[in-house]
Amino acid sequence: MESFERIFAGYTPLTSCYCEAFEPTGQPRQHWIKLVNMIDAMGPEKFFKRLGQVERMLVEHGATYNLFDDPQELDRPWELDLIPLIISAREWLFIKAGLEQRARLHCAIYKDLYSNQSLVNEGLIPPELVYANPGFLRVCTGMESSWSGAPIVFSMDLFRTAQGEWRVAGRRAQTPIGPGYALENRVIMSQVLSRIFHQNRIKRLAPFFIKLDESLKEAALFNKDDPSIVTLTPGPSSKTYFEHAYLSRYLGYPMVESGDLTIRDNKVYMKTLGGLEQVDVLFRWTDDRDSDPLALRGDPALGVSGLIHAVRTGALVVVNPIGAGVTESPAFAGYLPGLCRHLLGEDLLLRDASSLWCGDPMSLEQALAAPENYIFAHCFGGSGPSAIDKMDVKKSDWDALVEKIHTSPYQYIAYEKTGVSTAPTLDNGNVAPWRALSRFFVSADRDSIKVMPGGLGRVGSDSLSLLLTGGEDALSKDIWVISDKPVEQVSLLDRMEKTLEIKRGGDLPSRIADNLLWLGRYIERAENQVRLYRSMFKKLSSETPYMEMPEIPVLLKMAADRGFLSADKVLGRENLNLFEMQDEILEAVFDPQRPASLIAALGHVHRTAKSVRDRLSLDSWRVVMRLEHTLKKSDAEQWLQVSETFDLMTELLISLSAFSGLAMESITRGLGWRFMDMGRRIDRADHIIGVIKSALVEPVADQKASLEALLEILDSAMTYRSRYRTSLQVPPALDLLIADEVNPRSLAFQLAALTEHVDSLPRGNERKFSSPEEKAALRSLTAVRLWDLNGLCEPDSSGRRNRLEEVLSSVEAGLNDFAMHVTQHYLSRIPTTQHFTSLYPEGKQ
Amino acid sequence: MKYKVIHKTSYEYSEPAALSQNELCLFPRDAQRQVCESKRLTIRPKPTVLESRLDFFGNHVHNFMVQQPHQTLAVITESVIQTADWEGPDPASTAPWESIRERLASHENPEDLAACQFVYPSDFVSPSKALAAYAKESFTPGRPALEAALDLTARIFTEFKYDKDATNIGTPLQEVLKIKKGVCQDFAHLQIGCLRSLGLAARYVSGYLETIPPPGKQKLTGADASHAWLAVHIPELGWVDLDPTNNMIPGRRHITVAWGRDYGDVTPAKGVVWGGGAHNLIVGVDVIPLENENPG
Repeated sequence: MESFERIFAGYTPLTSCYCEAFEPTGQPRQHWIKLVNMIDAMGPEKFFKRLGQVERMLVEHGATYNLFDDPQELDRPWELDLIPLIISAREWLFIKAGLEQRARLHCAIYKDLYSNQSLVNEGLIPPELVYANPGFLRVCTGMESSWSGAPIVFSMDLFRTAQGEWRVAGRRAQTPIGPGYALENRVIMSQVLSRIFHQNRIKRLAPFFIKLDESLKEAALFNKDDPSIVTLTPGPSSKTYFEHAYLSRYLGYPMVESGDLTIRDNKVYMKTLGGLEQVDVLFRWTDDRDSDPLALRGDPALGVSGLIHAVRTGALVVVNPIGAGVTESPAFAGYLPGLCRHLLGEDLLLRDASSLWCGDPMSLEQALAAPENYIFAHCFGGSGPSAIDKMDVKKSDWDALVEKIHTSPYQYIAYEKTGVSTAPTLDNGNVAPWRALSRFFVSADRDSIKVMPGGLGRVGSDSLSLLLTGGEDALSKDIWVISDKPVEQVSLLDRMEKTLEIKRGGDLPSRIADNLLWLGRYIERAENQVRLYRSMFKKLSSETPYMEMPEIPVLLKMAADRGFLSADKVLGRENLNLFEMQDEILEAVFDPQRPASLIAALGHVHRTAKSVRDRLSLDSWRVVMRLEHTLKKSDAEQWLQVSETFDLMTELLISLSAFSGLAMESITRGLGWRFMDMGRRIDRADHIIGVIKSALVEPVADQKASLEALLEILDSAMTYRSRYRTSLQVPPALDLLIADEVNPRSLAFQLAALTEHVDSLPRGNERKFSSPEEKAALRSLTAVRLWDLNGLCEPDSSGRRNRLEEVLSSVEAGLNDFAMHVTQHYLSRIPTTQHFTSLYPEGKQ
Repeated sequence: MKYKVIHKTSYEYSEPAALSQNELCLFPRDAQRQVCESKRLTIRPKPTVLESRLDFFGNHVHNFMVQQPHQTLAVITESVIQTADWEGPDPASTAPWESIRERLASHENPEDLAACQFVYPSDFVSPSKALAAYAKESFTPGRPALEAALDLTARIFTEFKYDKDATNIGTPLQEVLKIKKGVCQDFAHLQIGCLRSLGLAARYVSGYLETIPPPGKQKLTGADASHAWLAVHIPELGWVDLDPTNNMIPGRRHITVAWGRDYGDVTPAKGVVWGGGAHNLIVGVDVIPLENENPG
């Protein structure tokens, strides 16, 4: 790697290809001068340091892209280049006008195709474009309201030819892909290159989202002043799940999955803790075909059965309207100039990439006469390889393709091979010319069309693969649009720092409440484990031989009783081998295959947090990502040694405490917080009971050591010492750990908190009587308050504390009861198993 | 011929179903050789919402929801239909099939243009080389289109075995072609696939067929069945029905309910039920002649 004083000094644009940043003479273009100079002035060392910062921020935000749409596949981190793509103010005027016109054109096409298809009947487009196009959903025809004013958000891919002309490479209309990533890129770039960003006049993205929010609200047919808008995501296995959660939080809409919605009286409702709440606008991230399994036979886990009928009866508005995918087919490209003149009376401003649709006999002939100049692809998203270049395939494969093309020519398109302009991109410490594709976002509603002044840039080494895949697996760039006026400061970002306020009584979806409850439980379980192992490692790494430390057997017994360690390996053995013991503990920490291992517990935390990430503040999410990161790091180093593991445990404990701290301080005390805290209290109470039993029920040689260990892992040693100095005795210790309602680590504290939580849950009309969960919590709390601790501390003749064991077990059973009743009452109110039925004919004479 | 058709569909659930959502395509439409004089729909328990509409193809569709817990759901349609036999020219006098393919490909008049969408693949019927090859035995060069189509119908009738257990709705056409077994809907899809593979327009028709009891036997209640066949587009003649299950051009005993590209467009009843446990479906169809056969 050569190193230069100035970053751009080593950059050489490709000859005979348009470079976004530099003139052929080697001078930066006018609108790049400031950026190039500022980066050069910064010097390589400082600049590359920012790259690390970008990576860290992306990890903390959890920006991922699940490329292969495979739940097993690990999420792939999102990648962002530190050099933006810049568009001048003058050029933006042209692009913006072109994109606006495109949006108007698409809307006019929808209106026609989903009413009477006069465009086909009048011969303006061949029938194949519509009737052979699986994106044309016949069931959505005749739904006038969908196509006259409901907002539509498009994403459109543009590129500049090697000669410098802007062209359209593709479009998405069922759901846009990328506005959330564009926003994430902007958030990072404006922080990492803050000075450069602020000294260039760069148009802000926020106004686009503010307008989108307004037009979604405006679209509601009912409750116009405060419509209920939800975003529908296919779920965490969707490749762009990050974006769904990110935008949903940014725009302030609850995010739901199909199981959170139900239909009654043709209206769509969200299942919430307080009952069913009507949805006015559904902002969907599911594809057309998956949006209504009853009407379209799509995946029942993704869509809402009856959704299309609900739209037809005018109960709600779905954005984008279902069926919008019809114009995504590249087969339309050649007909758009004519359609634009016919429908809008204008000439088309932005042309598509040159292509030939094989359904036209002349085009077919032309394409097959010189196939080496073209890439052949299915134009209706059919199965099989997405694109074929004659130069790259075997003769037999090519012949097979030609035969298929002749069988149904209208299903194929031939793209002219073309070069794409380049943009300077960081490549292994150098700046290299990479091919660039720009994705822009346009939202259209009844009154106006808004273009996001910025977008999502993708860069790759190969023009064709970039164009054909839309840059799916390519590195991303922030797109900066230069403003010719001072820019206004607007931001929705402060919304991201808080979690959503619960606006009305119980509008927390039941599934979310369930996940939050479990997140609380898993976090607590992980923390309990970490404290236990930390105490062990602390002892094991000290200078005293472990045989001489009486706390070790107590800690091992606690861990074995809780199911973390195998009892056979660590209990009741005369000669416990230090190495065997250490191996067992390390396995219990690091082995992901063990169901009760710490790493498995943290995996649960991560998965659960991911499914409610729109409910977590950015900072909380950062902590979750850091937890994951800490363990990944340790994983790479193949099971650390004891002393390093102690440090790791400390690090984890700090992260977990940070999460709890954020939960206490930055989550509004709404229902979501209550469910998360209930989860935490249930597991903490359970843990307290468990470890007290392990330490105090059986007679032990060294009572003091047991108490010492107990106080330490329940984090109450300091409090005990400040109250009772050093005298370690059972009754005061139990008073502190069980009965003291001001000690947040005591059993009574947990039970009191649970009692208070259930009292505040929405109850509809059932307020008059105590609910079973209220009774269960109160019964346990009262029992604990009435315990005679001195009596319980007395061992019986055998030396066991049978009475203590008995009462603790009854509270343990009460807790299980409590958890069961909460689940029954709030979290499983509607059966979600669906059965699909169809009737088949079977006539024979 | 005048018929009364009673079609009962009932679902029985082992546990109460909380919610049920349904779409029906069961009301006979008017067609070239039939007029539907009256129709009635009864749903038990009474649905909370019920709407009817005409779909993209002009078929009658009902959507309804039952929102209270229920353990049975019954849907009954009763209709009175006047039917007639098909009257057309000698199949041997129809245009050569290739000329029809060319007309469809150039779709210069509205009638051909409207038929075009039945040439393209649909969810359940994709044209293929194998289907084209099978069809070509009947569609020899220059052969009159309807004659060739009827020959194909006859071949399917003789070469394929009616077998209720051999296929289900997910069985691909390639498989049906291989095992040579299936039910009316497979045979209809198969012939549609053959015709489309040649570039001809073919649509799927759902309906009923009056069954005639064996001589001396009383006709049993509920013994009739819903049925499916197809229609091929022959310019100048319009759509001509073909029944490969029974090797005939459907006549007065065939009652049309709906048509579309394939079964998916005109599923007689489809629904989704939440809860309900195991369930049992009972279907009974009665096609009752209301007057004596009217000669001519």
